[in-house]
Amino acid sequence: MRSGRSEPFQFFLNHPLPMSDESLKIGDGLTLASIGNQDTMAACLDDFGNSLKRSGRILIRYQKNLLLLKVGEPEVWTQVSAPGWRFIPQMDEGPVKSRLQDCSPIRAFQAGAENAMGIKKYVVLDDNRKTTARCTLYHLDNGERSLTFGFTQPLRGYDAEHSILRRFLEKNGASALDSHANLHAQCGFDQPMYDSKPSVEITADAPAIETANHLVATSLNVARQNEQGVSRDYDTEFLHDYRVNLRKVRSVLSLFKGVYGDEDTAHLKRQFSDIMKVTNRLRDLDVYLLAKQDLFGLLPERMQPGLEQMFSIFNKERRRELKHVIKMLHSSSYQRDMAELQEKFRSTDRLAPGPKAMTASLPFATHLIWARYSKVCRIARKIDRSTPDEEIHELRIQCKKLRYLMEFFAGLFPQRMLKDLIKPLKRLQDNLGNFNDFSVQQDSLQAFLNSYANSHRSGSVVAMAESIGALIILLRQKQAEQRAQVTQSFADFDSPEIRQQFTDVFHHGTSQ
Amino acid sequence: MKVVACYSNKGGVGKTAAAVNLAFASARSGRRTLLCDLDPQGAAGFYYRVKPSKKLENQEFFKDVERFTRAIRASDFDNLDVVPANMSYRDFDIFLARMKHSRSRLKKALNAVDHDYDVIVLDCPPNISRLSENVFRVSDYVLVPVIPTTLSERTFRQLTDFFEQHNLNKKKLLPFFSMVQKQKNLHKETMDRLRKQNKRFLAGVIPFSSDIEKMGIHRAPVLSYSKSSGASRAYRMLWREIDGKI
Repeated sequence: MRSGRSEPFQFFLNHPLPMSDESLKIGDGLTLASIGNQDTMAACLDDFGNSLKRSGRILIRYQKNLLLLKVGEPEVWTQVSAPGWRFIPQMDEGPVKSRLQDCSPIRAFQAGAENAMGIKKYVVLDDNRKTTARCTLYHLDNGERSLTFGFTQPLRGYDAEHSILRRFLEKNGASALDSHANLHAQCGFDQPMYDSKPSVEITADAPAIETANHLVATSLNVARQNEQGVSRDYDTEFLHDYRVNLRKVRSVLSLFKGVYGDEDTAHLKRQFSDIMKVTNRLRDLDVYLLAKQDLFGLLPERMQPGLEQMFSIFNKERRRELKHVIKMLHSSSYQRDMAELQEKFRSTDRLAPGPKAMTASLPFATHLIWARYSKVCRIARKIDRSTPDEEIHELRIQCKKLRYLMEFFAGLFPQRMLKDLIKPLKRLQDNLGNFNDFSVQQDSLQAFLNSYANSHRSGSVVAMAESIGALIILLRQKQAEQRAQVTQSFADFDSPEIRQQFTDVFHHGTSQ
Repeated sequence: MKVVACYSNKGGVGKTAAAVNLAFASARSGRRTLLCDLDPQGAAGFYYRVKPSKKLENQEFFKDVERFTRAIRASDFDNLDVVPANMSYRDFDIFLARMKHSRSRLKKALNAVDHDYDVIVLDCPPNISRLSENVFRVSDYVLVPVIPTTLSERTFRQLTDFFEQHNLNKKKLLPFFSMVQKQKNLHKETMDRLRKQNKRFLAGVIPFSSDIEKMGIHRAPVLSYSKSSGASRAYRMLWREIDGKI
């Protein structure tokens, strides 16, 4: 068991320990003895967003074992997990899993290249041959590069012996693990870091068309990095990120009025809308399937078989839809179009400029944001209990556009101030988003039920209608709850301070 | 946390072997286990190769939790720590009582050293003293190895009488047969008779075994070096039975 005082020691080792035999005297009646060697294959795991690498953690899998270390922290965690898991919730329970709870439960973990790994275990024995400390070395070798790291394990009541072991290791070149970039690369995990929201550098006096090109090129690039993940169906976040970024492109095209010529704008809008359309149904199905547990939780057990059947139909449909999407992504026309589009936005002279093309970015931005903010307020301030749902939907869309604009031009304004403005806006958007989700779910459940009723015998339709009917009622209640909160969420966003900030920065431009 | 004492008022009955192996079985089952060697002969510590710290030997470290925890040594096995003997256990009963009755205070003290145990196994000295009386009071169960012979039968009766005289809860007593030689008729008959008289005898029976005797050579519990021997099976079975009760 662990000692209360001694801390384990994590280290790199530049060369092997000077042990010709199985054991070596390391001090005062103490012997370092080898107790086992294992040669195996190992791979480093991370998700596409490099959650672990970003937080200085390394997760290594060898056979059924998982080894987690965090650079700069002395502890090393190990556990066994049956193979086949891809998402954290699927992992067997254990100390490694409990230390990965901050990772997204819907992002798949993927393995990097396989390395040969040698594991050597040592103990420090006293003159009674009692174990007084342990030490494990891992040697990774991928043919080009190799690396040895290890950690000690102090034992309770044997602090002095652990110190002697540590001194012995340090004398033989062990240095504390404190930089992790290299370790990831050495473990064969040096793919470029994916960033779903790269910061875009824009300047105040750059022409608006240059800024627009820059924003579109960046989003296109991020979208395209997700194509392979979508095709291989690693997890649903690839398609999500892909669509978010294409939506950003479309927002630039529709919100930056007059930057590109009318003809080009219309053509580009249609092109991107056609691409996204192919993925719409797949994303809808992903959303339903991700909500499966929540929906089951809403219904009593006796009503669940109907839902089970619905989800199995969704699963089948999803397989078909995925094939469509993959077919598109792999088609030569798509590949060619995307490459051309990327090229168009990379250069400055491929798209016809509109009347606003040469406007400086800062006044262009403040004008757009102020106009959109005013529109949001106009709609929101009129909302009361009698306002039709359509107006709430309209408010959601306007808030979304405002948010996009503020994020597109984030580089032009003080970060702290933007954060303060976006925070209550985000809460309002969450509220409106939930309102919309519950509404969309009702519609799609109803649509599913209708098509099911047309193609099945009445006996099974009754059971299905009962389950889905109950769900729709519950979702309507939830939607109403969300709707009731909208006025308050807007009031939080519409505080005098925030109004003043918007006016100062985006109307009078005084914060610059 | 449960306290299980291994006790016999007669020596040479397999008491220490039982404490050493049952503590091992407890740790193996995943329970964080502490084996305390209260027998000044220090055999339990010897089997786990744990030397008492020279510095601590002359201190009264049962005075408080912190001093006691400093005497704890990791064994070579997961989930198992040992407090070696050769120490003044004058205040051990006080310490134990405190551990049991003010668990929140204990928790605080143990949290300070990042530790806690599910099971504490006590290897008690083979006599009836004030220490043993206090051990009986604070233990949840008192395991008593009994060799099925007339003499051991008599010693066990002395123990039950002691419990009665001192108003101790006899339900804590969990006797089991130890060093049993199946081929001896006397052993068989004694076991049958005692089981009829006392329903609390555990079903698990520890055989007389040369594997157990070799513990002194291996300096390790028989469960670690001879897993599939009859003796190991018997200890595992006995622990499962005890574990079911605690």
